Amino acid sequence: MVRIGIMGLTGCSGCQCEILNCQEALLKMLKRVSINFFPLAQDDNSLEDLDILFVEGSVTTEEDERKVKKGREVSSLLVAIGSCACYGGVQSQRNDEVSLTEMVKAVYGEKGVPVKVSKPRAVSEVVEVDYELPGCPLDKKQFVYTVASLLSGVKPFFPKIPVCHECKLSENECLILKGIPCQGPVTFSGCGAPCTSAGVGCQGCRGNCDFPNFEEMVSLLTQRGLSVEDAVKFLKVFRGYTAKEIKVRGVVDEKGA
Amino acid sequence: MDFHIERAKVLPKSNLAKFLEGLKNLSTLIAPVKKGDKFIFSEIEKVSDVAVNYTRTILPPKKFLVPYRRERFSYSTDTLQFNKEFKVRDQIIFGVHSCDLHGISILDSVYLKENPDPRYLEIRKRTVLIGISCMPDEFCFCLSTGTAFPDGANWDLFLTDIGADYFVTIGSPKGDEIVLKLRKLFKDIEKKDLYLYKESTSKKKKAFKLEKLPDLERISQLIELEYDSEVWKEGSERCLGCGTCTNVCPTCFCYTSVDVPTLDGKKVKRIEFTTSCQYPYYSLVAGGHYFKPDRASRFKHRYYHKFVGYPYQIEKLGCVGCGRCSAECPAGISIVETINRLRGIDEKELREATEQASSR
Repeated sequence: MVRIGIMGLTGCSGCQCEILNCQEALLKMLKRVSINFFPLAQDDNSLEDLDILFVEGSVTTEEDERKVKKGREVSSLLVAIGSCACYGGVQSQRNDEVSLTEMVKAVYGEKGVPVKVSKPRAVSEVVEVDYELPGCPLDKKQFVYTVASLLSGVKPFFPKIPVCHECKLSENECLILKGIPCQGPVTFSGCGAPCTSAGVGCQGCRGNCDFPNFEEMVSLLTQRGLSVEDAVKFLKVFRGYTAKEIKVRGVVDEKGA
Repeated sequence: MDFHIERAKVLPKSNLAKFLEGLKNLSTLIAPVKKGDKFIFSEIEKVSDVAVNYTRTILPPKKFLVPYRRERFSYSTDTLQFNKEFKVRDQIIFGVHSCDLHGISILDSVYLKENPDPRYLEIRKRTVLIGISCMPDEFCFCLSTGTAFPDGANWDLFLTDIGADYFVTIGSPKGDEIVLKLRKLFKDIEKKDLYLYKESTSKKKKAFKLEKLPDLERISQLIELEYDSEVWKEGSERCLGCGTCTNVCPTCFCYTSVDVPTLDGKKVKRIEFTTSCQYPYYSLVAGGHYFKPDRASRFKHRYYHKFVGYPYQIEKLGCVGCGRCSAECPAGISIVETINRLRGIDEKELREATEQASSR
């Protein structure tokens, strides 16, 4: 039996719930794996001797850091799941703009927060990560495919191509051409373009595709009415620490914006 | 046996619905339908859904010949027994514009000329292509690519709009058979029909704005000579690398494949799916080396393949002037504009750009 753990750090637990939603696949999976650690879903948990550990959420508290470091120590493979674990999540979108003190004050007021916190970090900023399954939440099919691949001893294959690929092959009208802000051209696909298929612009929850052309992306968004500042903010929402790749035409490398 | 092949017939427009109904009874009918403000080729349930007067579909009918995603085979990990599940059905693709018929003819050359692909051959044998005439919009440039009219012999029937009727040219025995089966719907051609048919050619030609069309004479040599042109770099600065241009292209055929194991680990499926030369991983090889590391080289690659690669391989340009890549590009990059710039149509502007780049 392959020993699996599923750990949650600072996040909404949505990705862990998505795993629970893989009902049929979970039953099949349980014939080959034992879930030794999954505090969200079961009572007896042991964070020892794992083969694969899935980690959801960003590293934000001292407790998070301790937990994920322990998890890394006891597991052969560590897979970050969801955009919080992969990039830092929505909670880290202003990391480069304000100090930690200002953040805590804005959210918790003068009293502060009773635990020791840091700015939200991606798991890979704290420990070594083997694979990343981004998304808000992660894609169920990708999770099952990853487990199936790892159980068979093969590397899961996720080319970092843009969402436009899946969107265009679903024969959707291009939202950018229609004037709807959409991050499809700079966002890592794999989700099957559900948002754009429903007429909602891509929000970039899966992070950067390979070599994204942010200069043109920002320019397209501004041509359609957004200010440069708003365009950059829109792009930063889910990208966490990878938002530092955002570049604006004419602006020489100033921390993204 | 009396064997006779008709050359052409006339189909009154009032009989179109019955004709489509007749086609639907023969096999799976695929035709353009409206989706939002655009059109797509789709399997037809109700013939009233068929959109006859459309400008262009988002994806070409290629998707019914070379699916964008399909299983090649599966194998058992215990016995290594291979299993191919390749199902072909009879299909009639109705309402294909001339450019797309030429696109399919190019795919035919690519897939069937040397080492015929058995799957493509099987699908192609069981596909009937029925074309329909069209008028160009601002993105069309099929007059430059020589694909504005259905020459060649890869189609079965072609409907030309001549006012109250369609002038139906018959391109193959399969097409003739359909006309024979549905002969009650057709009329014989009269002299005036032939006159209108001939007139429709010049009518379409006149609908193009000649000064907007690209000049494609000696385009292969031109592109080879302009390999180091600044035009590529300029275009690539706007290029998002999203792959839309190749995904909507009627002649692009690149694909990749990946082995997907089942959860129990007993079976592995090999899945093929479309890919694009505009994606960095397309040129990524073992060891992490990218053969086309920068956007300019990828941007150039598409033009190179269309206008240099295809002529070498199949003696035809790989572009049929359908205008999809320009119409669908989120960044609004136009293939015609790029060619015009390479030709030096905007020579002054180009010179300035080159000077700017060298002074940087």
